[in-house]
Amino acid sequence: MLRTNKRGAILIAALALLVLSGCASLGGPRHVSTVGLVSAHSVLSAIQDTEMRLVCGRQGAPAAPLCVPVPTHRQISAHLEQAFALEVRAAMLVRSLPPGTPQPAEVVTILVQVNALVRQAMELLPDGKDKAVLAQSIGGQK
Amino acid sequence: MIDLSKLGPLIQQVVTLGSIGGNGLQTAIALVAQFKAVLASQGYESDTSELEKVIADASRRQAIAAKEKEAEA
Repeated sequence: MLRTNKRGAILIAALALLVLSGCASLGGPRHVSTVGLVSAHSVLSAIQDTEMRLVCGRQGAPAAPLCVPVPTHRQISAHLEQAFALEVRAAMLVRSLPPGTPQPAEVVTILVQVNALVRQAMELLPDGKDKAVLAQSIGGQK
Repeated sequence: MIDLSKLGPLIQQVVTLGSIGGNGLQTAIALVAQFKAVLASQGYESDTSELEKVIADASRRQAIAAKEKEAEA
């Protein structure tokens, strides 16, 4: 009886180890793409929310030179519009992938393009406390 | 999130297999495969849900950015 219980315990422990060891690889390329897109979306959203608060002349915006002049705001908005459009395209592409499908190269290309747009938008923001806080919150993009 | 109601019967099979001390290695391997399939399907649905949220919010924000692009001084 004791021997049977010991064998049972070993079997369960072995099964648990097998299952746990497989957990890390369960996500696959689709999961990796999803994490990348969710992360990119958080960054873009943070930039848009922060930048909209800094537009010169708007309620709560800081005074010059810490505010974003309207022509610059238009430029940043153009970058963000493009980035969000790319993001939607990539998310739709990843959503349509069946389980086990390799990550399409197009998704990687889109994420690189989004990253470039993030950099351009960040460069246009005036230096100051708000930009520093934003850069810190999105992981050091400047 | 893992749906425990789906994993319950599998866990029961593992416990039963363990308690009888059988030499069912193949059964055990099949159970692991079933476990992994259940977990993977949960991950797929969860990722789909996250992607749909991203699509909805990114579309909304894209429209805001398009409007702001035309903002007047």
